[in-house]
Amino acid sequence: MKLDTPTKLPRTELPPRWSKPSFTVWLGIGILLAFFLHGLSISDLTPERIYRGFFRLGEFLAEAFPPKPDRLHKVIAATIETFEMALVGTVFGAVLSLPLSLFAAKNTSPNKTIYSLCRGFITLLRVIPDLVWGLLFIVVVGLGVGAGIMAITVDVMGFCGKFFAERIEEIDPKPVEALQALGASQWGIIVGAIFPATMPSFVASTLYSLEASVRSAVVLGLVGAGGIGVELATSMQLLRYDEALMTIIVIFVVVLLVEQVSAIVRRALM
Amino acid sequence: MLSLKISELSKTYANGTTALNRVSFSTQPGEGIILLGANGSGKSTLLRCILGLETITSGEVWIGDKQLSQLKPKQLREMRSQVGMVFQKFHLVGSLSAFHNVLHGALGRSTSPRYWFPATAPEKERLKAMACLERVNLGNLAQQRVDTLSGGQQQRVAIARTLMQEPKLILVDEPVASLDPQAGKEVMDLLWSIVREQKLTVLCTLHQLEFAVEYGERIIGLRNGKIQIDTDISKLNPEDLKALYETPSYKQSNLTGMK
Repeated sequence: MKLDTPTKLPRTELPPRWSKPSFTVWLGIGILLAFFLHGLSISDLTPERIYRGFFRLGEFLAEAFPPKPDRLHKVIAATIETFEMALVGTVFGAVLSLPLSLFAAKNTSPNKTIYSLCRGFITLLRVIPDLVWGLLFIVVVGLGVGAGIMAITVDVMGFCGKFFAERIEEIDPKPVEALQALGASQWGIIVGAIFPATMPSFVASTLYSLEASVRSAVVLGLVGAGGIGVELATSMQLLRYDEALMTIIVIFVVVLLVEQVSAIVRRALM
Repeated sequence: MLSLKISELSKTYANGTTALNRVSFSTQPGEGIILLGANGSGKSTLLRCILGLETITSGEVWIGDKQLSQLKPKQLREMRSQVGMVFQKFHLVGSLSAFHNVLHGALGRSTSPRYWFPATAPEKERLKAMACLERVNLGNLAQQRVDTLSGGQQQRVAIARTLMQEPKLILVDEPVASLDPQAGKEVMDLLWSIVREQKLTVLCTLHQLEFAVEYGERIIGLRNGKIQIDTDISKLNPEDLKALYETPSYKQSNLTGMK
């Protein structure tokens, strides 16, 4: 069969190769560009400053090498404290997210008001950065690991609450209906049909937030919420760069380790 | 034995479609009723209305001596636990074992958290669940995840779950529509032998005429939400049956007009 290729020019107008962006797009680009240029000007990153910065980095490294393992046992103890802070906070956060997400999922929430309230609450937990929570809890319960754990708990709830609720909304409604049809109670349905379908995803999200929590636990230490961050801040302020480098190396190893192990487990779950 | 009486049942969806239009019938104890009708004739909606999974627009559903719309949530659960339902797409929890899914059949009997997991369920219920699985010839696959089973096996697990309920009335919605002919025949044979040995009243929707004639005792034919046929299988008129599946005449004239 021969294809009938038209040889005549089309009579209707060709679609243009380019279409002009609308005014709102121009406006958006303009505003972003203005912020970008202003940000660049206040950064004051002149070539000369960057050039001098290289020498300062060289000085820092010269002082930092070799890393000083004198206080290694203390650093390791503080690192374990950081990990434990992240672990306890993540476990609390994930466990509290379970009921919260059931109320914040359209298909399991008892009514619209509770649904909206819980969604709003989760958003509030998420939009306030963990460091701000940390500062807040230091005011409430004082310096130390406790404040860090509370900040991480709240942060994990913001993340897990949202992900758990979205996973619950995605479940297959058929098994739920079957259990309803045979007279199971609301709890029977949740444990019998909803949790089995969502658990692998819940565990994976929790492990992912554990990784993030370990990183934020380090940073939380810098503002005084316990753990390795406190050590690092002290070394830096006392200009003991060799100690600081040792601490950074330990942090690097721990964060990498947690990420790798968690990634392996998450892959096995999927 | 639980009697079922439906009078003047109508169901209109929010978008204005009438799924059921003043449907009335009642069952005799131990009767096997086949609900026939084309797609969209309201068969599934009728079953869902009986269990209260769908709200009724008007009319009454009586199960035993209780009227559906008068039941409080707890009584509704109690009623549902006495009525078994087998679905077209099995409606099993895919990530759980066959045994666990069958055990779910007892969730209507007790709200105790012990019934949530096979590990904590009372020994009596565990033995019963295993017996139900053996009744559908799947005892050897008890520990298998159900999403790894074939369609026919999954429907048998669903039947075992219903059996576990100890129902007094069974509603069956297109039990073989998702299965190949061979598996479909096996499932129907199994289902009917269980229904017979337990002397259960069964209300089963089908769209295959040959199955209806083979298994049914009484045929109720629905068309556009209305009962067109309600008769004993032996008195079934083939002409009436044909009319059940005929497309409305205006559609046909439209089609011929297009040619």
